[in-house]
Amino acid sequence: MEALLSMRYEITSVVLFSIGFMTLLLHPNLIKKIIGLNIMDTAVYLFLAASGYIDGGYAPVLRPGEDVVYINPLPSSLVLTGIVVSMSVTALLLALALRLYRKYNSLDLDVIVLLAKQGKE
Amino acid sequence: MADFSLRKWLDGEQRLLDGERSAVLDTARPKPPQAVRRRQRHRGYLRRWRRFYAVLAVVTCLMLIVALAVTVLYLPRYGAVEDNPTLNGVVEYYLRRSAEETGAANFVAAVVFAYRAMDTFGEAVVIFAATAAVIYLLYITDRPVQLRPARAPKSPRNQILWQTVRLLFPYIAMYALYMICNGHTSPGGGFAGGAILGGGLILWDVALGEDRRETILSPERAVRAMVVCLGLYAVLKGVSFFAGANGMDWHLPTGAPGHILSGGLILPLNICVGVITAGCVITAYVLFTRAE
Amino acid sequence: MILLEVILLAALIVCAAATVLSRKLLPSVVIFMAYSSIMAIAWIFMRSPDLAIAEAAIGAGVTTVLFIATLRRVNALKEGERDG
Repeated sequence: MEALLSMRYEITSVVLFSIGFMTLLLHPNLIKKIIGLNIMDTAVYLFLAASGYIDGGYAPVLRPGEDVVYINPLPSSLVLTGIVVSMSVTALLLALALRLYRKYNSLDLDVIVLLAKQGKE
Repeated sequence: MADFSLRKWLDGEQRLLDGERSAVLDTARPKPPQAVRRRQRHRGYLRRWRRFYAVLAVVTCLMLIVALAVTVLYLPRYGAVEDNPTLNGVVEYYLRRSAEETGAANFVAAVVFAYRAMDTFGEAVVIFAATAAVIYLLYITDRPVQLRPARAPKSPRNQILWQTVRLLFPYIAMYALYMICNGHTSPGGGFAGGAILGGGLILWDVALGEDRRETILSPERAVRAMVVCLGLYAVLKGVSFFAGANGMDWHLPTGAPGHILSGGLILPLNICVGVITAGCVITAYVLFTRAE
Repeated sequence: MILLEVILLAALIVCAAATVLSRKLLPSVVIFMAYSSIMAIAWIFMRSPDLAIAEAAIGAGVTTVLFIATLRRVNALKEGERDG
């Protein structure tokens, strides 16, 4: 129990990652798949940023004249750009989904695959 | 020509996907009854494949969870300082030296826009590429929509929204500008400030109403601003790299950490990144709501 | 403090599961917005205000707006098809 509590952020990120991964693999709806990808993204960011936390550390903004412990700024700066890139990737995926909807009138991947196969025959 | 085939591929033209093979399949098409039977067999195959795929996905996912959970137990404790591999010499250097070397009070901004500014340039290019792809997918079509710039809605139908936006937008824009320009002294920075600015522009665009021909910021203008900012970023950082590598003493004064005019190149780079993020946000929104 | 963090993380997991399991798309997107807001508070607990601001502006704001714009477009296309 103590170990579980001390690793709470990492365990949460593993659970969130698996939820997102399961959605990405199993849900037939494209919008849900994109949401699952977003959940996976945030889970990875949570994991990365959790590795940079230090007990009793302050936010990484300089406090002049004080000798304090700051948290690790490196994971924060890596995740900061990652959040923005995941937003732009989401926009791209949504545009692709809209395009597919215009062509096949459905957001269901099974239906799209079936229609695409029928169009082939 | 390449442009044409890419569009056909995006629209799902199967022949282009398969190339020569589908032409061969077309000539060797079987007789109708056989085709029906084959299709039925194909359906059954597809259903079985779906079930097999679901089981496989669940098993893969469970194995992944177990592997990750076991790994988590071997990680250093959350918040520990001793034997934590992420706390190495690089981090120590950043925390000890970045304030005097870059002049930025915010360590994250110092890492993002000074020590790893080339990496951030790559991120900005990724955002620009995603915007370009959205424009390609939704805007450049056979029947293009001509979007006109507009400031105020013509019909008085949504006056309440419009008056609210007119009151609110200056404050949103001011907050976004504050966040962008103070990226090196306080939390925030170009990415978050640019997203807030884009959100304000989206609000204005919503208030313009249902006229699908009018928009606050046409994709052409947004892309022009983004390209200018990307070029500015590249030139500024390129000059800085070139001068630094050749031992020339060319750099902006770093100033005292905590002042608005400090941090050398961080302030202009923050503004460039803010414009790029805002352009991505507003372009994606405009095209999602307006494109044919 | 740890109790508060555990409650927050449990809410995060519940929100993620609800997003995935909800049958309609619009509620699912709105729950995703709540998920992002909770995530922003979690960043504050990890002493990363930069990430909190970015997540609140981008995750809870812009991404949700983009999802809702897409859903609206899809519904408009569906209705146009019904009319025609």
